Amino acid sequence: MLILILVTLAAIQKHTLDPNNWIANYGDYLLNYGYSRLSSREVAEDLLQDTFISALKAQDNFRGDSSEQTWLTSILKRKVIDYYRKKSTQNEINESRFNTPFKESGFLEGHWEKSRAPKDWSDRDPNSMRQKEFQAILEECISYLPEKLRGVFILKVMEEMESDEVCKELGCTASNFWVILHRARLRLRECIENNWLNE
Amino acid sequence: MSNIFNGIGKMMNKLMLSCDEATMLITRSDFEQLSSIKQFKLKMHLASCSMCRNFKQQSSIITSQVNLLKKELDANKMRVALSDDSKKNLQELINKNLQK
Repeated sequence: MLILILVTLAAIQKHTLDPNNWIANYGDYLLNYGYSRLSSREVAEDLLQDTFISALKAQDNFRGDSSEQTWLTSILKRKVIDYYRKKSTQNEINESRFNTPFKESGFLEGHWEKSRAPKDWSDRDPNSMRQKEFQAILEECISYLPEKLRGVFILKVMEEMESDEVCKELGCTASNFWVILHRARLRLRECIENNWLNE
Repeated sequence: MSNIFNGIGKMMNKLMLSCDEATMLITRSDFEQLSSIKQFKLKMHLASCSMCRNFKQQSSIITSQVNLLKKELDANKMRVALSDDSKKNLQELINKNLQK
């Protein structure tokens, strides 16, 4: 009898789906989730639509172990990954077009070009001052990254996925992965520096 | 004479990291354990290169600020909101797919 009651209680506590309240309850959350990862409101709204359509089709797969929000977010995350996968196979960016901040020849090959070397930020450390402004610049600079670089950066740094998982999804090799992430961070820090220190 | 310089340069390159290599290792070390040889080479480089030290400092600032952006979302601080039109369109989409 006790077991029966416990089983019933567990069943009651399981999460259920309520599609008619999805927009009111999670619309803005999911939009912001997508926006922070895609750097574009339009793309985020498109993927939000796709997420709802996929979720409605997959309702039977919802077992109620996780909350409705977690479940919907995991579907949207999948859409974000698929978006970057398509982008990284579609237009293979010309790697040589990347304008490296390092000297390309001579005795000091591989060392910083003086004019593009990282400066000291300690006078304007955003951890202690004007954080909002810094974050606005950070978001803008992320949006300027070519999609192939942005995909790797977002999945690794924001989604905190394992490197080999990112490569499996986006189709890169292990060594290629670090080169791409390295370039993304070089571009990002330079873009931020130009906007943050010169403000 | 320039041959000698090049020779010395090549030898130095084997022992010393360039800034390109050093910053790549900084990126890797943020996410995985480096071998002790690489760690040592990186330490040597950083000891003498303030620009790469700046890079390291900036990288950790960027990573921590990206994490803050994430946390804001979890705390329900929204940066963008659905317009009424978008909400209406989405609701119609849901209704259409629910009826099926």
